[in-house]
Amino acid sequence: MEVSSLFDDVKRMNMRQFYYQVLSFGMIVSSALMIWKGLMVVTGSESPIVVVLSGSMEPAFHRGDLLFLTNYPEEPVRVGEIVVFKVLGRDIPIVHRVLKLHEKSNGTIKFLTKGDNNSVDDRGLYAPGQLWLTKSDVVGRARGFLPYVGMVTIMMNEYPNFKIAVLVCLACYVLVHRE
Amino acid sequence: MHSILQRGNALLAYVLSVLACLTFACFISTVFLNYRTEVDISTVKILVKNVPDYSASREKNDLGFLTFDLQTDLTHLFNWNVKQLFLYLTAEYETANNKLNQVILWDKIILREENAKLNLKNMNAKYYFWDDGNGLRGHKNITLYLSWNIIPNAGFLPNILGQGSHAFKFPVEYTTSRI
Amino acid sequence: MAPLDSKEKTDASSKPTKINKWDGSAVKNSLDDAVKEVLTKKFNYTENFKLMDIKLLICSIAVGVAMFALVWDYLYPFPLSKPILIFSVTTYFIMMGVLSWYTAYIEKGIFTVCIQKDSKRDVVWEASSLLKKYDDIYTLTLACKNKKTGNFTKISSEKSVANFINEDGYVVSELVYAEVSKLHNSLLQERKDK
Repeated sequence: MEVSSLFDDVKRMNMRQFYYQVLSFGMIVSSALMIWKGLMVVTGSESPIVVVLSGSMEPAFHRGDLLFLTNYPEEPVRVGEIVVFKVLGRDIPIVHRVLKLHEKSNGTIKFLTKGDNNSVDDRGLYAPGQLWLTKSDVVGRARGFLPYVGMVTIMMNEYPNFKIAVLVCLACYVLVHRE
Repeated sequence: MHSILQRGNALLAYVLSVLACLTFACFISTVFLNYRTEVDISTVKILVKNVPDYSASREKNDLGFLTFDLQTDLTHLFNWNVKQLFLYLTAEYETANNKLNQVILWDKIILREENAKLNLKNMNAKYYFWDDGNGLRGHKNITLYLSWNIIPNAGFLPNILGQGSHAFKFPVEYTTSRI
Repeated sequence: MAPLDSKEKTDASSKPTKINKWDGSAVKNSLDDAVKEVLTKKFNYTENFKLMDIKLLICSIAVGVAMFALVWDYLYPFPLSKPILIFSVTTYFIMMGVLSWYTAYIEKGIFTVCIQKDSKRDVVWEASSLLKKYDDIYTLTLACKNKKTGNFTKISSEKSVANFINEDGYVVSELVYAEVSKLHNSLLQERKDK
């Protein structure tokens, strides 16, 4: 197919149809965005779905598995739960299990985590001088599990060109083709 | 008539939707099952020391030592949507410092097809039983219980509390000799 | 929305357009365009864009709300932005519901609304079409509404797209013209009979 013929559909459109085309592309993007933001509101977590990036929780979670998180403030953190937390100075949140927990009578908690597949606890992973995690470090608690689906995003992050190519192709397809 | 791309796209979409339906069926078929069962725990040897915790504050903290017996049969918990059980033995107690302390002393991963009949005698704890302060000596009511985190093929990640716990006391004197 | 010039396409539409005849939506769109052209050029009716404009407005509000939520969440990170997010997410999904309702019950496949300006009466012509996926039957419906008398008549034809598009994938405007005139005349005839 010639390249010029790709744009025939666009050439035949009037202003309204073209604007509608742009809007329908906008609506595809917005739908994904709004579902994500809606999940944020429902789960209370700033990132309700995370992809497992390391093997530190094997054999439970492998690279590329998907976790669904909740983070309700009234739900207490307890030992044995899998939490996703952020550490100062690290971009990527860590998914590990709570090993020890101490709760003061005023409700403040401090806890220590460990990966199922690691032989030692996480004190070495925390920020220098940090011995415990607190509730403000928590991004969410793992509640649901779906295998393999996150592989797509891992591939996209590993091959940035592939990601850009996919996005550009999608955008062109939606903009150029009238439904 | 239709291009390879269109056929491939239709085939891929169909395969993905079938997979999604099967995964959902797998999830929904096991979501209402009861995963509780009985556990028999008892302690054998208990002692407490007061030594500096070099892994944390470097201050002298109470460090408990115990060996325990554990009997349970978890074979019937496995079904087609249970990939792994993560068993953990928790010590829970209250001190003057903290309203709630939870410390995991021992854990075990049981994969499907592995032996899930446990009959442990005189087991040592896997992790150090450090208190957050000096609250263990002479403590009258420490509860030990076993819980498990179910890792499914796809679905929720529930933490189930085993039926049956064991309460014990720490001696009123520190042990000073090496064990 | 700014008023748009409906005559801007005069040049482009005068030359026949080649389409991929196995692409259902391209076939439908080109036939729709040809029918529209017959109504506006040959019969000299003025096109009324109200139906499309309302749809565009609904979409614009939805996309606008989504963009607003994105910007707001960026400026005031998550726990702070919660009330605004609740508002935007519900508005967005309500707008999506309104949009599907509008396309299903108001638009009903109508792709053009034309007004016949007469000294005596105001007559509205609506053309709608239907082309099922993997099917070659193009259903064209022409409806005629008389605003004064409230008369409403409509007629439709079901013909294979092969009747309007030649083997090379060009829309034959004469054939489309013949079909539309046939429907048009029979509607006029019907009205006279009454």
